[in-house]
Amino acid sequence: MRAFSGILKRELLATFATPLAWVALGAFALVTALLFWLELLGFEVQQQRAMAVGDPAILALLDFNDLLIGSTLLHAQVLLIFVVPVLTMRLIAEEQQRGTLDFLLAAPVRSTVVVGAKLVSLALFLAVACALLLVYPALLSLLGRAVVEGDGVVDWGQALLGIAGVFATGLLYAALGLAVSAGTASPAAAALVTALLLVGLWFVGGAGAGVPGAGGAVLSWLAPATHLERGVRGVLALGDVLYFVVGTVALEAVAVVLVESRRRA
Amino acid sequence: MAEPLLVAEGLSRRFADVEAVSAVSFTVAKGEVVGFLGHNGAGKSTTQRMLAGALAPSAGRALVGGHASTSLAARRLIGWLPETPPLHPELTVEEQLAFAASLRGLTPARELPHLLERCGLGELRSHVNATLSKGTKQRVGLAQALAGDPPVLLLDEPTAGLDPAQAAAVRSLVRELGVDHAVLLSTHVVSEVAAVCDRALLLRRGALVLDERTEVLKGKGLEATVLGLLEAA
Repeated sequence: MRAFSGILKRELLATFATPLAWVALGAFALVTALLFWLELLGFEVQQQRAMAVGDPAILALLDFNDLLIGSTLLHAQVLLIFVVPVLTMRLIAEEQQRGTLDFLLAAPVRSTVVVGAKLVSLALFLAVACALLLVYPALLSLLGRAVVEGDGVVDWGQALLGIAGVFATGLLYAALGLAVSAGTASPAAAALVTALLLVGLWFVGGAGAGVPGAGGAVLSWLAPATHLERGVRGVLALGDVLYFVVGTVALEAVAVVLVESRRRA
Repeated sequence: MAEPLLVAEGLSRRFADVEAVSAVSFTVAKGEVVGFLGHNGAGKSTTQRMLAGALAPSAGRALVGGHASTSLAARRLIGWLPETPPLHPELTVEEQLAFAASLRGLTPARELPHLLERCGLGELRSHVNATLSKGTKQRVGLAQALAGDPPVLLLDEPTAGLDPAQAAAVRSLVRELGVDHAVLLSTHVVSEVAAVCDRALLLRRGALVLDERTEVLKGKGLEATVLGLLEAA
């Protein structure tokens, strides 16, 4: 336990003592805010059009839980594709480059503890990033006005489930980045390969929608966004939870195997 | 002679087509300081990496306290100062040593004062590793190796980069540690072996070509013997 907390503390110091995490967090917050604002403008235009028609049924379809909060959370997930590799690249690749990985390998600590502590440090970063997403439902809750009687209330259950989904997606990305970082001594290569793999997973989801039959379904299932989308719509499905949990654990196991393989390199 | 704590049996390591260490066998017992001599690239650091458990041998065995060196049980018994001290540049000396102590399951607050004092780092505790001189980094690396007082110490050129006074202090510390530890000390400096070690090992192109008590070598002329073996074809 001391080794776990020692590695975790060092990782947090290394992450937050350098500008990297702050820049990544700042960029994430700024771009998410910008995208939320654009979504808000788009939503207002749709709302005005619907009001011009004057049909309450159409107005009722304009659910800002889905259209505003949901869309912002899906954008946030896309941003993590670019933020996470910047953070994961240094986790093990940099240790190899500095020569400190040998010291970890020689310490009386299991590789599962090393990899686990590093993943938890990323989870804490992601928790901070996801906490920033609470601003949007809070803003809508405080400032939003109901257009239709009884409407306009933020569904906090849906919002929190969506944010938890973004966190789970980020953690899955982090586990992938960690595994890639364990396979190379070059942090830059680790960042590039992780980003390419994550972009690939993103496109797989899009490609799946265009492919008919079982092939398309498999491609869609592979994409994290498919599983996140249900969460941001307020649907908690066991299959989606298992996808994120099993995916993260499997990638963490790959990272452990790759760290152990450094002894034979 | 006490039971050996450190055993290399036919230890070999191959990197692609290059055999860096070739069937090296020796032991180091508690109460012994053994000097490990050889040119750069002779295989000293690779041998130490295998003994420390950071690198698996291609053939042969490395045992620490009877356990395979890559096992957790063996790694609990080893304190290792690699050739380049493994320091995180963003940490302070104190944070670095607390990290090293935590890796060994120790309470950093209890371990730190002793480590800082033993390696003369008290005044530098709040200095950031990135700003330290080479010699100070070496001392921080040594302090890390001593965390938890492991019975086996692998020291890869602990006096490299130190000024004469610091080097003398480290040699004196190694001598002191040698009383109740098994110490394997890699060095280029033959006089260091004469001053500190009970026995000398000499590696040439990955193979062990000398394993002799220092007293015996001194009788034959230590420097001449070592240089003769190093330069032999």
